[in-house]
Amino acid sequence: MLAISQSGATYNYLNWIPSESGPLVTHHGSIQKELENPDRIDEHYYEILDKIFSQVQNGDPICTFSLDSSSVLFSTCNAKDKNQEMINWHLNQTHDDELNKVIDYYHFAMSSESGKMLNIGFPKAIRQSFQTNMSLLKSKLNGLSVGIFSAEVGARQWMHADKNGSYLIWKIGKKKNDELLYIQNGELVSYFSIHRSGKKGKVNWQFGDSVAAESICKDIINVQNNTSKKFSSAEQVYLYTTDGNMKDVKFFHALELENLTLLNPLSVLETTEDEKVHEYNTLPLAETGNSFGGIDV
Amino acid sequence: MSTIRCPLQRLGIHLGGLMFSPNFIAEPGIQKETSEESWIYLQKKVEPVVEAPPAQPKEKIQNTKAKWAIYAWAASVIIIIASAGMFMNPKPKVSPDMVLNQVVDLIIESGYMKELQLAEAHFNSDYVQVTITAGELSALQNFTLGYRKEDNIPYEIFRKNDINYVSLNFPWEGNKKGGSLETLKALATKTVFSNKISIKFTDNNFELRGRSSDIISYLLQMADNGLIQKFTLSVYHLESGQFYLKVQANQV
Repeated sequence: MLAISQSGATYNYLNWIPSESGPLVTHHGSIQKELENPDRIDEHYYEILDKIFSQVQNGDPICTFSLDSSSVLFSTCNAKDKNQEMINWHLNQTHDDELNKVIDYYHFAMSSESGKMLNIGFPKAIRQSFQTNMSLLKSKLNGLSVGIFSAEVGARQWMHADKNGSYLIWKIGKKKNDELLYIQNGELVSYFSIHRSGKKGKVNWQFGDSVAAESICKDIINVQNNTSKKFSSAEQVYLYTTDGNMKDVKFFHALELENLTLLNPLSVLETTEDEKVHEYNTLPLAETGNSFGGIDV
Repeated sequence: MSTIRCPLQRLGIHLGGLMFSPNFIAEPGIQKETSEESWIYLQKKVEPVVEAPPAQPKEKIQNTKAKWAIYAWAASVIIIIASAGMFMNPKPKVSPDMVLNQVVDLIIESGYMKELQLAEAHFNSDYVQVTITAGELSALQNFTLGYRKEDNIPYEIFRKNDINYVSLNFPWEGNKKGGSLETLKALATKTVFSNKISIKFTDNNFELRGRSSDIISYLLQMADNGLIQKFTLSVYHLESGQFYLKVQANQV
């Protein structure tokens, strides 16, 4: 199974095979490719998939893909009991017909207490390009996810994050702008972004519970300023980056906080070669998590 | 904000739901926590048709000469059946998916291979005729020596106006009923095309002119919706490099 994740123009991949002791990693690496012509997005993804397939060469090409989150649209709406009419009303209020022609909307339930739905708008052209490319490459696509949501699946499968009453997936970004997912009792409470400035932080944007987002932001700043030795807002925190500031990752990791874990699949999975895994350089593989959904690790 | 753990959570059991795992292969709309949807286009290998072994004579044969006569007679029957099979050229077992994949492959290959070009493909009621052109005869010979020959597809090579042609006839079951132009219109609105597309409807025809990716997207949408065998289709590779698809509903 080949797991691919996109972060900007970088495509990280991890190939694994089932074994008696769980998934066994046979290859991992990354390739770079800029999107030259947005009108030919299907050809762009074809070339990426073809190149990675030829590098891995594992017989029947079966894969999963996680898209960069900048390619999709997020919004929330109140829809108690997942009421489709309510969701349609919300979409009519917030989007125009032209957008609806090019975007498919997916609705996911957030915490039952909030009664909110997280709406993810996925471009039809990208979705269709993957279907066409699977046909051309005689391949199978087992999953199509996006950014930090794929990393969250990884945290559950590799590190059993869901055994905690609450946990935080924390993606360190560029210029101290981070992305976070806060899950409590197996439900998404808040998806948000913060800016970690010197002495105080601020929430850039948030979907879901704003109080929780503000509280987590303060918690992170307290840890950053060495006024706290543990995250109090979540039982466990999983940290990673794809193209962010590695210096910041190393800073937080060096604090040796008792409830902070690097979200690196290679720290859990076995590899075929007895290689020394670089715990920081391979962190971008965190977003290959959707490949492991439903797999015992 | 602080987190309080209940005793069950301390044992690794929480009382909440299951965090969702997005999978955008699923149809849009309200999603379940997990989706097992996938797109599968793995190459299916065509299984060779195995002839049933000839029936064994039940009676015991005492006489050695008589035994040999029967063996010779049985061998003759097998040779005659095998020869008849070869000359009558029975239809090979090829799935519609495999035929469509072949045509899609040829459309793609025409985009980047100079030596081989798809000229036309016609999806008729009982066969699909695909015509490929090449400047060099050797390119066509190599092409027919490849996997397409292994699939036992009948083909014909000819030359016309200094251009070499190979015409392949794939078996097809394109006589299904129930296709309507309204369905094609609806499908066209669901398909994402490039900005080079031109679509035309008449009373009996649906015509689409555009890039190879436009034609492929539409053909795959038709296949996914179980429509491809309900219509008579023709694909033409135009001199401009564009592709042209003409679709007609099967006559009832």
